[in-house]
Amino acid sequence: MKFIVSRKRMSVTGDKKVCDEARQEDLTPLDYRTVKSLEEAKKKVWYKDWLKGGVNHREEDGMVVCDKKEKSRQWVVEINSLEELLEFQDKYGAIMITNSIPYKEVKKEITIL
Amino acid sequence: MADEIRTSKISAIGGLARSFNSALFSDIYSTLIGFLSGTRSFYIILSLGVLTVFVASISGLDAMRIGYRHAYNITREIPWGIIISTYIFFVVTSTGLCIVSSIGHVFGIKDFMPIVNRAVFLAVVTIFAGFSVIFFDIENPFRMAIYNALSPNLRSNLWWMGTLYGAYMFFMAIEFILLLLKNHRFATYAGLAGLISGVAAHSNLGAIFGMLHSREFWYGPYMPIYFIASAVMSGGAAIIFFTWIGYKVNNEKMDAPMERAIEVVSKLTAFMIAVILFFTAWKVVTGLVGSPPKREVIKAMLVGPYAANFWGFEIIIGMILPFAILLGTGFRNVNMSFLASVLMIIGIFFMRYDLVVEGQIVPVFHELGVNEYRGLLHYLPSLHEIMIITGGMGIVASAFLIGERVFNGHKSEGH
Repeated sequence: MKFIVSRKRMSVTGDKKVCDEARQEDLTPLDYRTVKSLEEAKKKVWYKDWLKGGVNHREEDGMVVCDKKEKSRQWVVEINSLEELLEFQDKYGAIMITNSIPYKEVKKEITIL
Repeated sequence: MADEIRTSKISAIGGLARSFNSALFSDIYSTLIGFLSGTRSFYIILSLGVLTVFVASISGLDAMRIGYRHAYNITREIPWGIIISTYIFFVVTSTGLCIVSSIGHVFGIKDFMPIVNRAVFLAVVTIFAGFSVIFFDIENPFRMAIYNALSPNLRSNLWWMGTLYGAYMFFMAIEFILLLLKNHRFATYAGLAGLISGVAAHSNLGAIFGMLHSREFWYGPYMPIYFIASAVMSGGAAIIFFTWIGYKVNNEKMDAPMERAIEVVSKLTAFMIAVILFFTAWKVVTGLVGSPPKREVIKAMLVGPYAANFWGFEIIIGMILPFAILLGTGFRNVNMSFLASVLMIIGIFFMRYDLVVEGQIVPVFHELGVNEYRGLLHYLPSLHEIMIITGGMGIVASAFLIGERVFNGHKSEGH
């Protein structure tokens, strides 16, 4: 399973590698809007930009969503078992697992504290 | 035992806050959402904002035409009125937005990153609104700008204010442009320059009050420190307020990092409320044993003509209620954080008004017992003044709505 990986304190002047295992990947952000249907979305002020900026527009979980065309480059690690996760935690100390910004490929984020 | 009592008190406040949320605000909430996110209504609100700015400009120009002394209710004894206090309200908010955004963008604290773009944009907008408002309080603003450069008076706090705020606005605008261009290295440098000039400008603004020997209520080192502390509180409230509305305008689902950002900003804001309450308490206590003119102001504030403003708006609406709401909801209820921010913004507006006006209500010759100046002086804003400050608010509202559309919800890098 892929996780976005980041640190509690970020490098703001450069895109430093977060940890040894991390590699950069272009991810597809999901753009959720809190209206129930595509028909309802058509009446909204943001609709044209939303339509133009994404593909695969659909209704999901009582909202509308699309895959953004513009990719986002993020540091990602692949961890496939609890053992690997514990090994990662042993190596970097305290970590926090949270929901990430929603991407098509990744939904969770590990923050090294 | 003590823990249990504390827990039950907190949960009681939380319960109260939740019921407040569900009962009273559900209707207002749904009406507001419907109004903000619909196409036609969005443009109606925007048009109202622009119309307000237009009417305010006419008012300001009319005041220039007939003369400020006829248009405004300011006098020789109370020369600073609601226009000055609103200018301070806007620049305090701008500096606060800059400080809060710099925690993420300059110091690299990840939790603050999602709010950075919107905060920097709003910092530029609010400082511009502040300049626009004070434009109509200065008799010849263009001459001021010219002689600021041609004939600088380095010993004048007002000269430093104009210069430092000018530099601050420039750096913040550059930072925002660089953020849009995704040039984060130079945006950080511009942000740092903006932060330094902003803090210098803002503490200097406090010093304008703090270095006035003739006004006992303001005089002393308290003001520069207070201005910076209250700026952080204002900035926190403003970013919560505008982020919440921004998400409603765009019908966006607030993701986990943004919710976390609102949570940490709420915590910071609650902490700053506590700090300002502490400052206010000591201002009152020391004022009560201070010189006679200062005591007169404190009495006017506590039990006199400004008591309703002080207790009602500054203390209860501006600090106690927001603090209770934030603490009671554990900083995790975004809607309640928004409610707290609304109350704070209202309260802070009155805080600035009271700070400016109360400092002048005791006549300078009070201690000499001059017959003409035995009582407190009075000031109430005129229609021209009210229209001008409403125009400042119109500028912020219009620019915010346009910004949400043009910059598509102010998405930060990695957000």
